[in-house]
Amino acid sequence: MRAGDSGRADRMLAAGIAVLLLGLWELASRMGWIHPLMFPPPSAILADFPVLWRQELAQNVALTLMRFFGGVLVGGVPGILFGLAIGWSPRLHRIADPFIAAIHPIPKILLFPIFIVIFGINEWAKIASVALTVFFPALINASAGAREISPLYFEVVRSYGGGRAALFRHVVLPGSLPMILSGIRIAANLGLLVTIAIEYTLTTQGIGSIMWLALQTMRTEDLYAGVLTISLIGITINASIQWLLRRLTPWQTRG
Amino acid sequence: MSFALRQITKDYGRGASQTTALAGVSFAARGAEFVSIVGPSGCGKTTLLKIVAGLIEPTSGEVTFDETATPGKLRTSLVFQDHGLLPWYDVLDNVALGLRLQHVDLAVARERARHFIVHVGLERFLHHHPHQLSIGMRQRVGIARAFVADPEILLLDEPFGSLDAQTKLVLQQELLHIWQEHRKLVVHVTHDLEEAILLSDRIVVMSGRPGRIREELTVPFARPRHLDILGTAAAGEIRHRIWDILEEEVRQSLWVPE
Repeated sequence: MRAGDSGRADRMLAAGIAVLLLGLWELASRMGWIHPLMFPPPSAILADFPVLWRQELAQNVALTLMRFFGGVLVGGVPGILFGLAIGWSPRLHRIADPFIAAIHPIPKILLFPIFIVIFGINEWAKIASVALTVFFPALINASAGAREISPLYFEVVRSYGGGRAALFRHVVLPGSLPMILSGIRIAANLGLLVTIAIEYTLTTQGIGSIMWLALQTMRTEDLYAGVLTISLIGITINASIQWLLRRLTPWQTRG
Repeated sequence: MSFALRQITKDYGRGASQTTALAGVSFAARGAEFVSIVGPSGCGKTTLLKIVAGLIEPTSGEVTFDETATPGKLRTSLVFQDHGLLPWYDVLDNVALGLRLQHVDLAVARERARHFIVHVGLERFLHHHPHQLSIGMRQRVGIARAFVADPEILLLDEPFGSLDAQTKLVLQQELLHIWQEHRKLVVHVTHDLEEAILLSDRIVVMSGRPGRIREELTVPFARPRHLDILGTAAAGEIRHRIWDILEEEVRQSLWVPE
């Protein structure tokens, strides 16, 4: 139980540090030590948040989440399936590896104009950019997960007459699940970043575009309200994946 | 049930790096006999077992199985050296795995697995994952999985090799007990002479690499057997005869790099 106690104490400490930092910020802004226009006090941001939420933030968050989840789904599912196939078959791995090495490092957001040419100015162009961003980390992790599975488990399933479908169902998929989920975690964080970045630079709707507009009109409380929203979305996504990891992979013991 | 190996040869690698694991191995087993294969490390015992299991193709020679086998019944199941339990399944699903791979309905497979697990006294561990079990317990589950699949032939690849001496004795007794209830043809690979004598009807002694059969011995003790038989003069004589052959082979195999 000691580990649980010290874990709780550490979380209390982290919360204390956060409160202290926010308090310092509040004080510095009110005393004019930092420019209140660029750094409005946290209390002002918190007061602004529900107002902005009712006016326009809520519907824009919905739009941003639609783009984000659309991209994660369209890019993540094929990424995982391709990744498993590549990790399972050494031959496929040899063929696909140069392509992955060539395309993976390209910042996919730069391809957004090309997607506009392909899809037109609509949601699909945005979703495609997010999807392509998500695709690679999902693929690379799933592939590494499948490759790391001990050959023994394949042999066990084959020894009872299991064919390809059985190997996928009983070995490849469960065996790479921990890596798939950690890949989804990386992919989701990158996907959120790209969604907001596209909105910020190139669209008129979504959390990112609200933040850009806020900055142009010097409504910095709105800008920080946007930052707060993104942060909350990020925390929720990461906590959900952590929860899934504990639920779906109980054989992975930690601590 | 019966099967026969005829002139089985297995080469690994090509050209200069080619090694021959098995060189013209022939033997047959039938009925519900318990056959043990003993030999120095690297003599191809495991390779031989995996050829019977259909996991490895021999370079030449053939394996034939009795045609009177029950249709639809699993031909072989293999108990692996390192238990081979899937880490992502609990004990119940690991024991049910063989049946599920035979396309038995999930609920039926689990029910039969649960029954067997309870029967061998492991019900406390039904929903434990392998990493939560001791090494001995894992191998008990591995053995349960192989029996539940109800194969024509049970193959055991040094199942007790990684256990401490006392746990080994307990599990050998348990194996004998379960086998007494579910009699079937067993081919068992070991380097432990006492284990081979305790468990087997027949012992096949192999040479060092490349593996050849040096001798076959019959173990005459009545069943059910108890550990005490190992103290008898007859057991001592069998052990002596096997060791006469093996000692020279083991000394030679010490000079062969892995």
